[in-house]
This record gives sequence, structure tokens and C-alpha cells, in this order.
Amino acid sequence: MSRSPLDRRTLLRGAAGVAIALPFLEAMRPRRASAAPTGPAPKRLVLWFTPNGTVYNQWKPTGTSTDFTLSTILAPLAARKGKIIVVDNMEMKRGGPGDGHQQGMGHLWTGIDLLPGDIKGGSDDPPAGFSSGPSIDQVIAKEVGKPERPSIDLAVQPGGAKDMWSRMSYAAKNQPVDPEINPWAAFADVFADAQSPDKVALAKLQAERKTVVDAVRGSYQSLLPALGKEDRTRMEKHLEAVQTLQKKIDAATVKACKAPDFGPAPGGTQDAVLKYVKANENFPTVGKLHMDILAYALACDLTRVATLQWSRSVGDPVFTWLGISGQEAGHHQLSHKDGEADAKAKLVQINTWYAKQFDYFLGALDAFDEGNGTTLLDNTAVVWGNELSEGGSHGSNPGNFVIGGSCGGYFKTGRWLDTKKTPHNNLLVSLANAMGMPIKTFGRAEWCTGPLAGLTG
Amino acid sequence: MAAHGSVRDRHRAALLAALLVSAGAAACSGVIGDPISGREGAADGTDAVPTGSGPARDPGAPTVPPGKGPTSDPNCAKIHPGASPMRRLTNEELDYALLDLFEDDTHPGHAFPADGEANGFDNAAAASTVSQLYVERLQDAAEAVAKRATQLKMTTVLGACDPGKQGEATCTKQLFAGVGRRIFRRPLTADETTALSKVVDAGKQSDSYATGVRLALTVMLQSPQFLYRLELAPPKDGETVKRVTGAEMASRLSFLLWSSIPDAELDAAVDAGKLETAEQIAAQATRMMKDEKSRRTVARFYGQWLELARLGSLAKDPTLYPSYDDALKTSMQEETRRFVEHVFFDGDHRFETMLTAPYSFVDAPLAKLYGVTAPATPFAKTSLDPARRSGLLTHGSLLASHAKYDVSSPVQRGKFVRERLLCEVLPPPPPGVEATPPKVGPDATTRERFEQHDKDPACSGCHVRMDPIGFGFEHFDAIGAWRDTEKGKPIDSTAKVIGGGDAEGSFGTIAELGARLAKSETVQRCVSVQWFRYASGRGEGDEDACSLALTQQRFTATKGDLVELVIGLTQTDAFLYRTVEAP
Repeated sequence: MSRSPLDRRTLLRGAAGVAIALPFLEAMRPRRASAAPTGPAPKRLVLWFTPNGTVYNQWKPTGTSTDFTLSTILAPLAARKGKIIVVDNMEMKRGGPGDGHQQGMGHLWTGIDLLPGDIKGGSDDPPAGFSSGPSIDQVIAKEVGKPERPSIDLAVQPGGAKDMWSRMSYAAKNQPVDPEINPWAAFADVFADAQSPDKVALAKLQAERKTVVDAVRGSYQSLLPALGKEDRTRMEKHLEAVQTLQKKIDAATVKACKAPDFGPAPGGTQDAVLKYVKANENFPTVGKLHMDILAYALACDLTRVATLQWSRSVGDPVFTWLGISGQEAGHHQLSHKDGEADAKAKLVQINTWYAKQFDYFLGALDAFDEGNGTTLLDNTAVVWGNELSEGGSHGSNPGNFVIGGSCGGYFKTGRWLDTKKTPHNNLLVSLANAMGMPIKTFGRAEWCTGPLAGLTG
Repeated sequence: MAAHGSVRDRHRAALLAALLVSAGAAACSGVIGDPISGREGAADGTDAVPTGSGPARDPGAPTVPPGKGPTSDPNCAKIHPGASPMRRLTNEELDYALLDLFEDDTHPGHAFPADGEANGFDNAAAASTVSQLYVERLQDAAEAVAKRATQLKMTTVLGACDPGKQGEATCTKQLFAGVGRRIFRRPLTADETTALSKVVDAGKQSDSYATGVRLALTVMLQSPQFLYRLELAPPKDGETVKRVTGAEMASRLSFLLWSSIPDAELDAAVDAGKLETAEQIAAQATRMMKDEKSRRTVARFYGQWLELARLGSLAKDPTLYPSYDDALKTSMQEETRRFVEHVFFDGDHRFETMLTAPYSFVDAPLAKLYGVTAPATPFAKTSLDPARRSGLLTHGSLLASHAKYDVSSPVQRGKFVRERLLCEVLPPPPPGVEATPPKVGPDATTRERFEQHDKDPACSGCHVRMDPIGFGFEHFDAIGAWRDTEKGKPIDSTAKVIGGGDAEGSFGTIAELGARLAKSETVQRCVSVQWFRYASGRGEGDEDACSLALTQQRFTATKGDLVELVIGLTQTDAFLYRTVEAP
């Protein structure tokens, strides 16, 4: 399938004026990225998050379910309307501990309550308010994902703390997944081996790592019997992560992926890179680098499941690159004032910008030909969710989602689906179904009535 | 405020009630009770501890030195260490351990996923979850550190052993007995040396002996024996409370007092069986508090207790506060660190000084902020106007970090006093409440704005605990500079602590508030509780009544000596013993 080429070599100026080259997506077009020659392309899932609610009446399309016009915020997706589903008017159930943001973030992909206790509160209950169950991406990753790399989880400036506002993905109850915030570290993790020019040295490094990780795994395993119940549960989680690392090391055969040129990290030192990555003005750059890494990793079938989290619940980046600045101009602060015309206009600008990023990512996926007339986007579901409906109310209803891609033809795209307040747990069930897991319920049982009707037929 | 009545709101009300009960505080709108969780009973002299459990105390092993406090506290009849969860090294502790092991100052922990927090501290066992990313970053760090150590600092790895002269077998023994023991913080078991010897051999076969050593180091730095503080000495049959062993105690001491691994002297004491009695442990703690490394812990504790980390990412309106930049923020944090260290290590050690000192340690930007002449040497001890500046509560760091982008925040400042100094728990605003401060006329002062809280019954229940304290800070603007007027009106800083036990009462200046708080037993008990939380990596429970009482009594009996408080922590059941968790 022929696609319009992506931007030619993109050069971004780093903090210290260092040029950052981002050429690799174009290099992948139009050939299928992974070397697997036959059979249907694998299905992939990407969960995509932006915070603080949208501006609903400028988000909601107009028209009918199959003949509709995208409103201002989603207008950047207009050219791709046939490959998306606007999932409108979901009911995001809430319960258990936490305020609107906390519950919204904790429930978004898990469909279940947070554990009791405030993360910074005076309670001495062991769980500090993380989710009481796993998120759907991790359940899918464990079941049908790649054992050596079940998921890649990236975040753009999610803040320095580990709490229920900054974590949306959970491996299990009270086990938040930490996303990587530094695109250069993520790049090294995903692609460094493929890039290594010295294959002899690479083979030696892999042999060393096998020796080491085997001994490390053994050190955790032999300790387990001596531990009490709670400590053993914690240590088992650690061991699981070491075992996944071991699978990754064992599977580290270099794929037939063209090694991308990512450019050096700005500043050189670890602290300089982290400072760059966390600086407000680099929010768009970091996001783009993350998107490129994910697109390439999915194209090379290095993982089947990914998450991309922009900011965090209650995140307050100032969108200076849109000309927004001044007093109380951060996204979260603005979101409280969506009753005021000026703030509302800025919130529309912000959410429209996020739609543009979503469109860039869908476009990047759509540029990879995967045979049989399909693209990577066709074989993927990219699901855009938000922890709130709108900022001013801090309520979660109506819940608004957009799905990009049909997940291998499973979803019927090109529609605007009014779900009529169906609980969003049903959407999570449908995502698992689309990825080949025939589950009937997910999250808190009384919030779920089965797969979401109208997505497939 | 929106009408209530939904299921969600009822859930929320139940949660708040539960939170407040667990905190020992009455609901916001009602009577303000004993603030410290699990301590209601003990506070009024009743026995809050389940006396049936716990082994009897050995009368020959006093938990506090004679004259430093009573051992007759009814809560202390039996030994109650409370929960003893396994703790993971925090990212900062890992960095300090690598520094002390290999002189490696690359602090790879900066690039690890953040540590979780509980009670405002980053070292809580329950919040120290491990993710896939954590394990992978640890792999990176272990590889890099082991490589640097074996290439650049081989003496930190093999000591004086030269494989060419003494032979590889001897040096491998040295590897395990020397740095291996320091990494594991106890002698290695036979199984451990067998497993690690195989790694050395594998490295040697594929490349060289040095590679083998490097790989064995890489393994050790990812092992649970390094990463977790394991206390696994087997209990006797049916034993539920066990005295911490010498090696386990060395780690308890070093991570509490140095944020890192034990030193050679502690290891020697363990080997000689001289880290067993409470007196021996107190003597080591006293020695360790005189070591420079204890400054790490004091800086960490104060930074987290005073919530100063929030300053890092906090922006202020540049048109109102042009002097507020990264350099000023750094100066503010440096001032507080130096001041705290001065009181703790060089000054009189007294908590009262922390809250009343009319001097501090400033550089030129801070001198300008405080309206004094800059000292010749940056951060030299500098006298300040006692009518305006009086210890920590008037530091720019604390005032700026507890204020908003463009205005001061009586709420945040009052909340700070309630939560961090009185150990009360305040719930977040209920859902549907506008979180921005009330808006009145454009000429209204901050105080006038926030006094609207008083008029709205939905707000006043909780805000009565915060705002009336916060108004006392109104002479300090959003970056901590002194002001006499706001919006052309003179500042009204009359204020009061409502509830809060013996801290209750009106005050006109922060110096007055500081002096009152410093003398308050409620506050002294809270300071003990905060240190206890930090030391034990968990919140306090009923079982800790004796440990907390003894810590606080020693603190009070020494007229608020902070070093004595910290040493006192090492003399408690919670520190000397552990609860054996059922398998």
C-alpha cells in the first residue's frame, strides 16, 4: 500500500542547540518492518492518555453515527475519519476511595477501585492508594504479548512522584507500572542492540548478561522460602520482573529492522538529559520522540502492547508553544476555569493540540505496510482516554474515547458511537476481545455488562 | 458547593470518616482530638496496647539508659516491636551505598523510577514497589558501576589482593569476604559463594579473571541481599518477636543514621559480638551521629518532613517576583540545609532553636530577600531581625514552597503546621468544591479572600483548622519576603491555633508561634512520631505505644535535644526487635 511519506529528516534543536535527528520512520516506509514473511500481521494495542478532561461540546461530533462531522478538537483527525471510532457518552463508574482525579486515573484502564488509604495520608494501612487490580493493557500483555517484552510504557513529563495521579497502568493490585520518561533511555533499551556496529562485542555482552541474570534470578528464587507471606509476595513480584528481563536477554536476537539513527542525547550527562526531558518547553519534543519509538517498536514487532501517557492527572504543563502563558496558565489550573470564555478557548487549543499528536501517531502507524493491503494502523487499536470528562466539574461523565485503527479488522471504524452511558468497563472487555482474549467481564463485576455493543458489527 | 447525596458522596463521607478515625482526630467540624494515630489510649494514661501478646521484657535489659526516662510505662510491660516489613533501599540510599562502596558518585538512582511515598517519606516499605523498568534500570546501573569499579578502583573490589601474586582463588575469597560482605552487609553463606564463584568462573572462561570479578559484582549489585534489608535470622519454634541480630542491627543503624551501608567499625563490632546490648547500640549510634555521613540523613529527613522538594518545580509569577529564579530556589534549600545541620551538629541540638533562632545562613540573593546585609562569605551565619525571622518557619524555602504562584497561601501554611508539626490528618476538599480560593472584590487582601471560608459551612469545618494559623504568616509573601501591607492595607497577622492540645492559643508573630510549638508536648510528640515513621518505614500503630513513649520522653527529658531523639529511636522495641512474619 502506498502512503504519503512522513516528514523528511526532522531536526530538532535541543536545549544546548544540539541537533537531534529523527529520521528513522521514513526509512521504514513503505516496507513491512518485521521480517516475518507469512501469516496475518499480529494485533497490537496502544493506550493513550491525556489529562484533566476535554471541552465536551467542542469534542462531540455532529451528524449521524456513520455520516458525521468532527468538531473543533477532533478536527485534526478529519483526514483519517474512516480509520477511527469516536466512542462517545460512556459512563465511567466511580467508587471506593479517592477524589475525582485519583479515581478517574485509577479506574481508567483498570475499571476497579483504588485501594483504601491516601498515598500521603496518615493511615498506616500498607497499600498507599494504588489500584486494587491490574489494567487491561497489562492483562493483555501477559496473555498474548511478547514474553520478552510484554509492553513498552512511556510518559511525557508525568511528574516526579510515584502516586495514583501519575500511574495509569498496573501489573497487578498495588503494582503500578513505572513508565520511562526519558526517550533516549527508552531508545537505548529498545534499539541499542540493533544499532550496535560490533556484532562480536554484542554477542559477548549478551552472553555476559545471560550469566548474570541467571545468577540474579537464582538469588531471588532461593530467598523466597525464608520470607514471611507479605514480604514473599513483594519479592515474587520482583522475581517476575527479573524473569521477564531474562526472557528479554535470551531473546535478544537482532531483528531485521533497519537500525534507526536517534541522535545523541542533549547535554551528554545523565542529569543534563533528565533536566532537558523534564523542562516544560520540551514537552512536545519528548512526546514526538516517544511516539516515534513506539511506532518503530510496534512496526518491528518488538512489543504488542504499549502505553503513552501525556503529563498526568492534575498535570499542569504550560502550553507555551501554543502561545499560552501568564498567571494560572497551566493545563490543570485552566481546566478548573472552563466556565470562563478565555480559559475555555485555551482548553480547546490544548485538546486540539493533543488531537494533532494523536493524528501524527496514527499517521506514523499508517505508513507501515503490513501486507494484504493492511497497514500497521489497521492491525492496531490506539485508544485515547482521559481520566475526566471535563475539568470544571471534575466529573467523569460523559466519558469520551477515540479508537484509532481496527485491530486487524475487529473493530468497524469510520463511526461515531453513542454508547448511551454504557459503563466503560465494557470497552476494556472489547479491547481484550479484539486482541484475542475471549473474556466477558473486566474490573469491578457490577460495573461491567460484557463487551461494548456497536464496535464490531 | 454542589448538593450531595449520591452514592459516590456517601462512599466519600465514609472514607473521610475512616481516615479521621484512623488519625485519631475528630471530624473537621467537631472537636479536635488527639492528633497522633493509635495514641488516644496512651495519651490519657490508659493502656492502648494488647497486653496479652508479646514476650515479657527481660528486666536485665533496660531500653533506655538510667535517668533518661521511665521504663515503668504500662505500655512497656511487654515487648512490642510492631510490624517489621522488609525494606528496599531507596534510590538515594542506593546511590550513597555505591558511593561508600566504590567511591562511585554517578548516582544512577536519579534515573530510576521515583520511590513511592507514604506519610511524606520516600522510604516507606509499603510504597517501595518494584516495576519492570526499575529492574532494567538497576541492571544498567549494576553493569556500569561494576565496570567502573573493576577498571578504575580495583582496590575497592579486591583490596590489596593481586591475582598475579596471591593467586585468583585467594583474591576471589577476598572479593567475597571484603566488598561482598559489605554489599550483602553480612558474611556470605556457602551457597552464595558457590553461586557467585560459578559466575567468576564463567567470566574467566569466556574472557578473563577480571571479567569474572566484574560479572560477580554485577550480580551482587542486583541481588536481594544488597537491594533489600533482609532480616531473616531464623526464629526459635513459636517465637513471634525476635531480637535483631548484630549484622541486622548494623544495617538498621547505618541506613537510619547514614542512609547507607555499615562501615568497617560497625562490621568489626558485629564480628566481635559487640553490637548486642542496648548500651552498645547507643554507643555506636552516638559515634555515628558525629560522622559526616549523618548529615545525609538529617538533610533527607528535614527536606521531606518540611516538604521542601516541592520547591524544585514550583513556578512563581515573574512579574510579581522577578528575583525568584533557579538560583534563589537553590539558595533557599541550601540555607535550610545549612541551618538544620548547624543546629543538629554544631549548635545546641535543640528543637526550640529550630523554631526560634533569629539567625540563619544566607548568601547575597537571600540577604536581599530578607533585607539584611549579605555576609562576606556566602552562607556564613548571619543575624536577622528577631521581629521578622525566627527559625525554620520563616525560611524562604518553607514559605515559598507553601504558597501559590502569585499569592501567599494561609491554607497551605496552616495545613503544614497541622500535618507536619501537629501530626493531624486533613482530608482533601470534597469533590465538586471549587479548589481555587474564594473570589471577592479585586481590592480584597489574601486574608479577606480566605476569610470567606469561614462563612461557608461546607468549608469552615476543615478550614478552621488551617486558615487561622496560616493568617499568622501573612507578613510573608509568596516567596517569603516580608511585607507590611497588601493592596495598600496593613497586614493583619493576628492568628490562632484552634485545638492542637497544648499548642492551642492566639499568637501575633511567627516567633511567638514557634516558641509555643517548640514547648508543646503535642508538637514534641509529633516530631518523635515523624522520626519514628522515617526510621521504621511505616506509619505508627497501637503496638508502638511504648516505642513512641520512650522516644518522646527522652526527647522531652533532654529539653528537646534532637540528637538524643535520634539516638533514642535506636533504644526502642521497634528498633531492637522485629516481629516474625508467619510464612
